[in-house]
Amino acid sequence: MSVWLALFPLLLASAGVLVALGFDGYDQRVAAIASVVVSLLAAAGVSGWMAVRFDLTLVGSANIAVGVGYSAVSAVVFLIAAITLVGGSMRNVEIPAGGQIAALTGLLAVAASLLISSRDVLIIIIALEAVGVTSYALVSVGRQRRTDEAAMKYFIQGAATTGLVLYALSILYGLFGGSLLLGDISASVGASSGRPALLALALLIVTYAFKLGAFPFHSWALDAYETTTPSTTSFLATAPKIAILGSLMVVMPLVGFSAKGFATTGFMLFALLATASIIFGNFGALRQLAFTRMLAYSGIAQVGYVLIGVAAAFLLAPASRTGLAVIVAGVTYALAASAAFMGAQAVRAVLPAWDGGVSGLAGLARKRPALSAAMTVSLLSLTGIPLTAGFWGKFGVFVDAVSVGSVWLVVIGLIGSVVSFGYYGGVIKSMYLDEPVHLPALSVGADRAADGAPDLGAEAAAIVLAVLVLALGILPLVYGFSFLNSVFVIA
Amino acid sequence: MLTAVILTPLVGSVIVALLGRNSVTVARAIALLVSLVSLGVVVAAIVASGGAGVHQGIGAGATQWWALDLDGIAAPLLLLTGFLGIIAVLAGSNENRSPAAFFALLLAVQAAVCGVFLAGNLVLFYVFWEAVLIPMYFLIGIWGAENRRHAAMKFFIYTFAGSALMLVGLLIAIVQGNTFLVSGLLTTPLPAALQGLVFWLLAIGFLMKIPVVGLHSWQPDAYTQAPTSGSIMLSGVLAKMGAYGLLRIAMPLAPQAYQAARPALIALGIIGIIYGAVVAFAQSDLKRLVAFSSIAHMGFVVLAIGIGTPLALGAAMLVMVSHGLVAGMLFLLVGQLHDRTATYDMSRLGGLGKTLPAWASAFTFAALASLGLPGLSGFPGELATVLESWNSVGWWTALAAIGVVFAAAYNLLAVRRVNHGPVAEEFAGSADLRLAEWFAVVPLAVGILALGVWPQLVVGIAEPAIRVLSMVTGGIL
Repeated sequence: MSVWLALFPLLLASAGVLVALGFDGYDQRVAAIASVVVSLLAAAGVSGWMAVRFDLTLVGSANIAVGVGYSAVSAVVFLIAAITLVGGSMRNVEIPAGGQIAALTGLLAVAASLLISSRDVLIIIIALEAVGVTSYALVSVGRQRRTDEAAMKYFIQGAATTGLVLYALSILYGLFGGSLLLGDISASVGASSGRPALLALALLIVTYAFKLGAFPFHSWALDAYETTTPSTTSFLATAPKIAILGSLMVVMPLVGFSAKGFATTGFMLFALLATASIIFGNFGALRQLAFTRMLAYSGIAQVGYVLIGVAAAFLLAPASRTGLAVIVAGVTYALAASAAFMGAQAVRAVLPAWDGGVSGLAGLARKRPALSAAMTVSLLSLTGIPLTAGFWGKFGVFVDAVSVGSVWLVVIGLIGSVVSFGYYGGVIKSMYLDEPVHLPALSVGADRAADGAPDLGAEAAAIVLAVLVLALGILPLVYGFSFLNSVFVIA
Repeated sequence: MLTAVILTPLVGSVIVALLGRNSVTVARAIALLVSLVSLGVVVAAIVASGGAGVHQGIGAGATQWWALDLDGIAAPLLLLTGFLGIIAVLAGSNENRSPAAFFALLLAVQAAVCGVFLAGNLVLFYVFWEAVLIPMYFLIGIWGAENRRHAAMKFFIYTFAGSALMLVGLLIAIVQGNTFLVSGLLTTPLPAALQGLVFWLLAIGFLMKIPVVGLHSWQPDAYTQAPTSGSIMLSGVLAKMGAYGLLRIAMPLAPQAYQAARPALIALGIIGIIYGAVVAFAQSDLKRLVAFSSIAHMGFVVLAIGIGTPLALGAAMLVMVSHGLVAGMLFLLVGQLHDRTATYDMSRLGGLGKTLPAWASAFTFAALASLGLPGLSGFPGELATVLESWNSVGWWTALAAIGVVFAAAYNLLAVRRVNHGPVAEEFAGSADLRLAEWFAVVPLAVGILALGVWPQLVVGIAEPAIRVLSMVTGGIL
């Protein structure tokens, strides 16, 4: 495969971003958003085709990885980016920063796609940094309140972790082989006795835990996800995480999987991170009254579930260490969380007086049945209920955990899931079961008049994402997993 | 063919949701039609199976994600589900709040329960098991009584917690076991070292659903707060899922652990019989009384499963079907009474034998069936259970007899308080059963009578499968 074909989706999406910036210069926001959406959809299509068509292929001297899971993750990231841009479009055409949000969303997708494909230490650092910088910029531009605090906090903490990953990878580069390629480094780490490798392992884990927003490296995420407009968070907080998880599964063999004696250490570290994230995220979310802040906290717990799969991978036999469970869990989380955030965006249009609280959603089911159904599907998926994608996400990582003999991690994950229905179910309860609190109406129909015009773009985006969640939940029952397994594998 | 058993109510559910939105009559008619056709499909599938076990699926072996089994243990429960599905639709015909959604959810519950009874691999079993929860949650939460939101949430969290443990057990079984196909479990049980853990993980989930005493705190709330149709499905069908899980999954998967667990199951059964009966005796709320009586009846099922002889397992099947009919009929009648009087409080009722003679006779009939009158469906199963219990645990059986005495007491007391005594003037003007209500009551009564005279109806279907099961679980023949 030529380098050009391998990079084609990235170039396609980048071109769309450049065109969008051009349009934005003339304040043509509709055209700017449209060009990003179209290029992202095209990139998603090409990536999807490559995922089905090619096995893992390493291209060029930098070992750009394409085919199977590498391309599939890119396709999912591009697709979610495009859907969320459509969903946010009604709001974004109205605000001056709309074009920039579209361009930055496209860029973040490009950076995430580059990250999952990287097998060269330098490119990994660049891609991680690109994901970080575009995210800070999105938080800053897409914010709904006039404060840069969240973006600053994110930026400063992010800068610190950049230092860590730089240090970790330079240790590996310097001590083990003098090659930038992961494959080469991995081989020599495996042969070494390795205290320095252990240090590198620890530093890498911290970096990736930060990027994923796992406890205790989560504090930026809560502010960033809450201050940003839900339609933007709908991408920012979800799809890039799949790429980060994929990259983690690519980088970890470097120090942990292959080196003697590190497997147990790596397992324990990730198991601890997973446990802490699940406990903290769930109990944090349980206390929240605001819908998006609840989603932000629960995102910590969701990352925790996926990290169970990462931990288990350390102890799996190399042949079954395909990264499959982790990627599928990441994808199912991203789709469902994206739908839920997008739902919040749509609700803001329908209920202009909404204070963001879960209780404020009372009676939504009667006003917007399709939107409520979509949100319900996404919340059930986040809970991990069968017939939704989220079940298979958790199922996969739990199977891995059981097969390496750590049933206790599964028990923690499941306790977390049961607790999580307390808050996810609370939203469903509010939408369907609770009666809206009526302020004394001045005249007949006054409360109807208080409803805003629905944001059809956001509703459509939420519904499309929810349909994907359902399809991924139901189709495997009929057709089995061979298709998903062959597409999302990253070994 | 087996897929059609699940798809018929499922597709029907979608059709009702789409076409029934503008007209109550249309929604009701479609729902009734769908439930009738569903029962027809169940009957056809059972007839087509010809009494032998049938396995159908897409793909083969370890990748057979869509795999369905029909055998003698599933068949009576599927018939019960199809039958009660019709009754539940009839019982819900007064529902005026978004009837399309109501019937759609009711049919969705039916589809998911059929899925549980047919599931041919462990994953599918779990998927359907959980899928039952969601429509039921909405049925209780939207159409229930005053306390519905709390009851719905409690129902979901408790059973979800139980099924989470069950999932751990299933995952271990899938990873460590030799097959994930249910049909393979009989020949390839788990390694002995894992059996105890897996059995109890599964059993807690199953016992939660039945429920047994200790895991039952969600049950009275859910049963009483649910709308009548929901109560019929909850007690009549959903409770059976737990017992079915024990018979179909836990026992063949972990036969040695089951042997070790038998005393515990017997104890849980006897405790359930006594506790349910005593607490039911203390109720003044008629619907709560029926709810607690369910714990007592299901106690017989757990006791019979604990004994585990072929005759006892046959009795368990019989009690399950009988309880489905009897509890279904009681909830139906209590619901009809509530439509007229807006109360379940027995202290406010009385003399209905004079004011609602038809309803009162039906209620007396159901109460007699519930206390286990010979000739009605409750008798043969509970008698066989007690006899087998005597053979198995001797004098301990006498404890269950206490429950039987209380059962007679609370049922007859309820009949006396509701049907006899001074006429409650505030409800004196209520109309008796309408023709449409008869259509729901009579088939149940006929079923109860038929099963009472001819228990072979259920036992005959179940027997071949039960014989295999009890041979596998240790040959306590």
